[in-house]
Amino acid sequence: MKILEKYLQFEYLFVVIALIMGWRMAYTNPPWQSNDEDRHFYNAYALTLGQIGPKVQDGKIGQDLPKNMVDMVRSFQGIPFANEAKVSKKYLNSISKQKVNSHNVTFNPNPSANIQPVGYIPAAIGIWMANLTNQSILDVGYWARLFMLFAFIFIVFLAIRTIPEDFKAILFVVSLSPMILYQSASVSYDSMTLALLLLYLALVVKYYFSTGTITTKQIALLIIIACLQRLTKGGYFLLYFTALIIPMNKFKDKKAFILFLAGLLFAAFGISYLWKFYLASLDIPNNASAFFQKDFRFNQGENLKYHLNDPIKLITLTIQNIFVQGKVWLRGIVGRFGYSYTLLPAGQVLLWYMLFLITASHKRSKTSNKFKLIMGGLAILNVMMVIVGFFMISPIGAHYVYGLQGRYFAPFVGFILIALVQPNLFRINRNAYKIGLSVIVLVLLNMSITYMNGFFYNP
Amino acid sequence: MSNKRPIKSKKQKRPSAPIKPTEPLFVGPEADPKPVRSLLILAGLVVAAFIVIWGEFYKPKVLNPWQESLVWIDSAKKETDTTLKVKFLGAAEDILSEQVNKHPYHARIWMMKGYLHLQQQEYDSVIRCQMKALELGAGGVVNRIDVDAVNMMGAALLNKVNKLNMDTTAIFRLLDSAEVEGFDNFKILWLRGAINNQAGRPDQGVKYLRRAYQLNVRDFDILYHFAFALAQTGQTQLAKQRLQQALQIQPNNAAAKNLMSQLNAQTQ
Repeated sequence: MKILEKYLQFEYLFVVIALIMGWRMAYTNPPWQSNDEDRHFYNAYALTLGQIGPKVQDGKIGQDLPKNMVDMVRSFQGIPFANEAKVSKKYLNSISKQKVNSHNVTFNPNPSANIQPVGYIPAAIGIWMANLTNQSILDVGYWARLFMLFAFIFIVFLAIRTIPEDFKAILFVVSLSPMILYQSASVSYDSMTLALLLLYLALVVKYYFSTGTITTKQIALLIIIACLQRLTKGGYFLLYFTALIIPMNKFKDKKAFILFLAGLLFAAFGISYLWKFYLASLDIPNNASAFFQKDFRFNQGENLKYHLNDPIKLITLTIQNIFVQGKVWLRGIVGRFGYSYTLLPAGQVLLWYMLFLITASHKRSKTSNKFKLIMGGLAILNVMMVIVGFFMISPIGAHYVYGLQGRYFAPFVGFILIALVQPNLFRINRNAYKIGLSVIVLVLLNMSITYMNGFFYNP
Repeated sequence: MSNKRPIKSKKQKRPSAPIKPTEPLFVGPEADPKPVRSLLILAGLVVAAFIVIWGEFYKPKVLNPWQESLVWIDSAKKETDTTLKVKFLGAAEDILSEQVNKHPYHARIWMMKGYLHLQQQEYDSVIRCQMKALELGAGGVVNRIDVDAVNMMGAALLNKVNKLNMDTTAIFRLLDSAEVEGFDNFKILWLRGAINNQAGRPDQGVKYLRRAYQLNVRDFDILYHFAFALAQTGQTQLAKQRLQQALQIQPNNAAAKNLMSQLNAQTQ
């Protein structure tokens, strides 16, 4: 029983479930099929060839990559799954022996080649090791996914281990929800973004409840995680300031607090300039990445200027968009997979939301109003910032928010649930609670994977 | 000795139940003394917002200004009354003219305007608008307009060739400028082939249409015109094969059925 007590912890349960179900998800998801995965994969591959920044050819940015690898990745794009097209497992078997021809390298235009490389490091290690052991092109893609998954599992394991007992269930369920696990088992910067934000959240909550003074090491750790996250993906910097729930008197002195604040501001606004300065040194022509979508003109500044002519209309349209697209976004937080935007059945999505609420209700911890206001308020403000941000990068003059998907909101779920710290709404034996939640999560994830398998593959 | 019971202080409370060691109670700094109130306000707001959005109790219509024109065009296409049809197309034209003035950089709006002119059978305007659309927006990675724009331009050009006997050299110059480096637009190849067919040069037509067919074997227009060119150059069996493929896509297409019966008559 003692051994059971010792190992029946959410962090260990997470590792086991994430490893089994994440692995299955990596192989159930058709090759290079997650959103933008082809372009993220090219970025990760380029890293293994020592290409940190983009190259420019014919006015377009991109990378020099093995031609037969690019051809295979391209052959998996644009499959009309929504029109009942399927991938044949026989076909996958037939191409599973093709190796990367690293001698035939060509320039491959990639509008995402200018993305910061930090988030691709785990995938790049996977690709490097796959090539080292002479794996097939298909396996290079799968290894890249698996290494993203391993990195995600490691960081989230630390997060669940770090956060106080009462909140472990929230991180456990959120990090195992289908969309988050799917993205984490894909080559995408979402994987590291989600993991790092969960770790940041865990540390912030831990420091809030800790009785001692916040040390310089702890301050540095928070700032480093925030910087790493910012170097992975933008758009979530308001969440760094949830650390302001830690009362000022927990800092050694006022100077330490100001230093901490300065560090957060640097992570939010300063660090990304390092990458921008590096890109500026490469003399990349304007519009070198503008070939991705050309049917409309996209310009954030011009669009903002256009909408600010009528700010009331801007607010009205933003709210209307929430009502019009909100349900798809809510469903997308839990499950909307790949380029085909395959939605998980609504019933399954609702079950996940119920699970979220259960974990948010089963707590005995008490937090201050300041905690709730800062944690929940900043998360919701950041949600609004993402919506308005996407509105501004929609075509100039559009009334409809373009390109915003539910997965962009997934990192906020943990923050919002923890902000809703509630008294214990029900009592249950802790071990039964852990086993019960694990079984439910396993069953629901299995349903998601079975659904994906039927949707993407021929029997 | 008094048998009175001791007076119980009103302020005295029952001691709270001890906390089980397996259920630790964390109390954060400045913890909220009235958590139930917070529950009602915060959880209530979040859950209510979720229910309203999920239940779609309020779902306003959000249309981009240029998309409103499509509503008018669709209505016009369904309308049998000519006066109303013209009126609806006029309303669409008002919107699109305003939008191309406001946003002359959006390729898709030019393409939509070309689509409107196609309904109005104003073929010169179709060609002008689609050329502008291609100039601005050809060659994107996603949401490409190339194929649709050339398709509509093709419909307009073929109409001109049929009705006005237009100089094909000028048309080919137009198509040259619609070509995008690094992208084989099968619709451009189809159009080159189809125009050569119309101009009485089926041997040239076969050349272009064969390349178009190699790029897309599921396009009715390519299959039909390829079959037509093959038939004109005496390759009847191959023409019938392509036509059979075309008829699998559009089984009721009158032109294709007519050509098939002509070919059958030839081979009998």
